[in-house]
Amino acid sequence: MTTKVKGHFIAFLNLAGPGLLVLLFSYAGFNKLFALKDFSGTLSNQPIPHALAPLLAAGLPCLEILTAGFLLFPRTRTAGLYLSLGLLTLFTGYVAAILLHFFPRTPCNCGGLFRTLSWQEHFWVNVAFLALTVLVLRRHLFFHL
Amino acid sequence: MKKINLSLLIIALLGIGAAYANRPLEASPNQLHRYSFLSKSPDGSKMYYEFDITAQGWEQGIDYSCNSTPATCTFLADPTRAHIDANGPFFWVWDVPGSGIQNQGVFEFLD
Repeated sequence: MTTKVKGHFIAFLNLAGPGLLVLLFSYAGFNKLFALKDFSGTLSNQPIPHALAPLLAAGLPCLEILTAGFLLFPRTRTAGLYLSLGLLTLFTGYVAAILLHFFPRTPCNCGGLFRTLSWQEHFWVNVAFLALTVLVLRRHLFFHL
Repeated sequence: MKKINLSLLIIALLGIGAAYANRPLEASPNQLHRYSFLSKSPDGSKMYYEFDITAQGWEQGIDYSCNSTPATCTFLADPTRAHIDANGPFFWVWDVPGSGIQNQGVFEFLD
């Protein structure tokens, strides 16, 4: 990578990195919250224990909104980035498990962040955001940006 | 505590606005289809159906009937919320409005 390109990339990372993560988590959390009944039904169709569905239906949007909230404040950004890393790792692992047929059936992808995406497309979107979180977290820890 | 980052706050508000605009809409009564009831799953959480009567264009009394045995004959549901598993197509019971369930008998074809 040339110095100029690297400079542009770092500038993009500093400016847009946290912004994209805030956009992702505020959108994902509130989208679920605005249609909680719908999200609850979708979770019931996932290959997870039925007893977990109501807990996740309430907990996931709250965690996502909390992550977005933490990313807004400089003092809580580290916590927000770790939460983002944890949530995205979980989501990516779950989608990977579906794609690798770890579950007896493939559930509908209607409850995902973008309802029109296939599971495979979801996986790559998650990987991209996971990579972004790692890069932003690394810069935040080492350069306090 | 340092001040909130204003540009990030604006982005968060944009995210909330986009989430509201893209929220899944509830089906209105004229978007609901009528289905012939087949069975319930052992745990009572799924309602399996055999036919989408609305999609077939069938009419009660002409194409099908519900005989006198008191049982679930047909029910209304939003076709976009249908699922399928190894036992066939189904709806989660919480997606089926109670007012749309017809408990007038067993579904049967009319020749």
